[in-house]
Amino acid sequence: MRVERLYWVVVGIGLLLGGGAELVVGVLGVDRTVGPASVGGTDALWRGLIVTAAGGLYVHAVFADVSLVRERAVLVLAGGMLWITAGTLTVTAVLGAVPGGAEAWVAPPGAVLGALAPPYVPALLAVPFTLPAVRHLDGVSAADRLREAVAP
Amino acid sequence: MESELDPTTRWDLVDEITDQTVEYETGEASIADEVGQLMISPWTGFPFAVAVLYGIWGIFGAVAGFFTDGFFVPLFDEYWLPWLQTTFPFEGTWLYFILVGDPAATNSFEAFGMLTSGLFVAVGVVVPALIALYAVLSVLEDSGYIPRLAVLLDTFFHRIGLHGFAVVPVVLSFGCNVPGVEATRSLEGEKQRFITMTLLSVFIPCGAQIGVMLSLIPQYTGYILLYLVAGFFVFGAVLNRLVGGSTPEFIVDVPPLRWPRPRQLGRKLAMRTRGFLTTGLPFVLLGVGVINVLYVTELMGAIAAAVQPILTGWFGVPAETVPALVAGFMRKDLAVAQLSAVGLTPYETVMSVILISIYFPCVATFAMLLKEGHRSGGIGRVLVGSLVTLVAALFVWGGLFRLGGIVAGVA
Repeated sequence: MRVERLYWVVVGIGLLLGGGAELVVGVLGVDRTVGPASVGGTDALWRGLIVTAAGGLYVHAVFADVSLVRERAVLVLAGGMLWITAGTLTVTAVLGAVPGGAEAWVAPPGAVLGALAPPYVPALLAVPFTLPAVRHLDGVSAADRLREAVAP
Repeated sequence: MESELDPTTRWDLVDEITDQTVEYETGEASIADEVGQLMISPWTGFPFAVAVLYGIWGIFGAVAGFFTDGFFVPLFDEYWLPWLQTTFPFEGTWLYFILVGDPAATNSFEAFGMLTSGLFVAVGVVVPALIALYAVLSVLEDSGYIPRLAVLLDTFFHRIGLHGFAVVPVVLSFGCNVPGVEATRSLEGEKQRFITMTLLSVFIPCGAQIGVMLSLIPQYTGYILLYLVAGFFVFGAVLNRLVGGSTPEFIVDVPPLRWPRPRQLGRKLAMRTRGFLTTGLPFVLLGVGVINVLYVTELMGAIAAAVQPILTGWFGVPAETVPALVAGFMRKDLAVAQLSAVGLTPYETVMSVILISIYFPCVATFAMLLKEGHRSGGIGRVLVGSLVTLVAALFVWGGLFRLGGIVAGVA
């Protein structure tokens, strides 16, 4: 349990830094790229808010008892925020790359895959690190479990 | 059957019946239950709501852009428009002007014919945008998130005499005001419906308008939206005090979080899209036709001359913007597009777009207001109330922006 808490603290701090960077460049209106990571663009401010908030939730959860369902739910919720953001960015990149103009109509597969190449914003980079929270998902609500239990 | 019991006695009776008939068991809440609770709690619910709204608008923009910019723009500009311009007979006549528009236009956005701009905006811009918005909204509804968002926002909406469920018409209106006004029928009480209808038609710009704003003036779109949303709540608070009637309390049954079922999503999407195609789409086409008739009969020039002193004197926008502002009654998105052809300062651009948004609902929304008015205290009440709010919003909210511009030294 201690290892898990430490893990989430590290992820949370990383997100706070990444989200903070997005907030700063969002306010200043500049773009920056370092290696595979990139911050900036038209939605940088919004992404910064979301990533920073997710980082805050991860860090907060670690100060609580991670064995509690409530605290594990916080980890899942924070992951959900990042998955929504990353999913939106991925869909946007793919759909933006598919049309090939009036001549070809559909772009070649290489061009579509090329839209998924680096650099990536912090929300996308963070997604693999949030996957351990998936094991907390049971996907069934208590109401549904009760309904199944009382069903003839 | 009319009950003579007062609310307290009635709730006591409900408690008594519940005690006798319901058995409770305690069990550990699941992750899904707790996540559902966190979505309602302000500290965790608001950041999550921001992520959801980011997702809604991101997916909406991506899907709408995919169809519109990716396929419909080349289809209409490279094939449909040149074909119509070369094959349609009667060039130089009023019929050609109304149906095809400008024979020298190089894109469907600027041709302004019913079969060119009208068809392009109706089929190529509005329909993809609406399908994208309806799809995202259906996922949120079926997953159980919308009731949670309603509970989360209930406190804010209470301040303007509404409940959290008013968020549904508001979100729909950001796609198109027509289904937004239609959705107010799900709200309880005439007061709620009237306030929501009026605020939507004045302060919420539709998806097509936002799309045009994002493509033509992306640097100002955020500020314009912020100013309009602020107006929504300020005028909502005023209306809440002025409009008679009460806003009944509501009890919402928050369902468990579930994965949406594709079949149900498909049905819902088909039903809503069909509804728009039959009620909203004809108005868009008709709107372009009416604008062209106004131009042909030179009535547009007369209207522009009549309102020009007010627009230039009170709001400080140049005379060149007047035709676009008048045309906004029919098509706000095209009115914004028309502005891009006029050389404006940043202040004039933002002021003109705000005016286009708040000075009058588009013709389709206006028709829907008339249609739904009978559910909100009568058509007369809705019309008079909406018009008074419109005039007040236009002169006060628009004038306030001018005042800000003067203080900042840009107006």
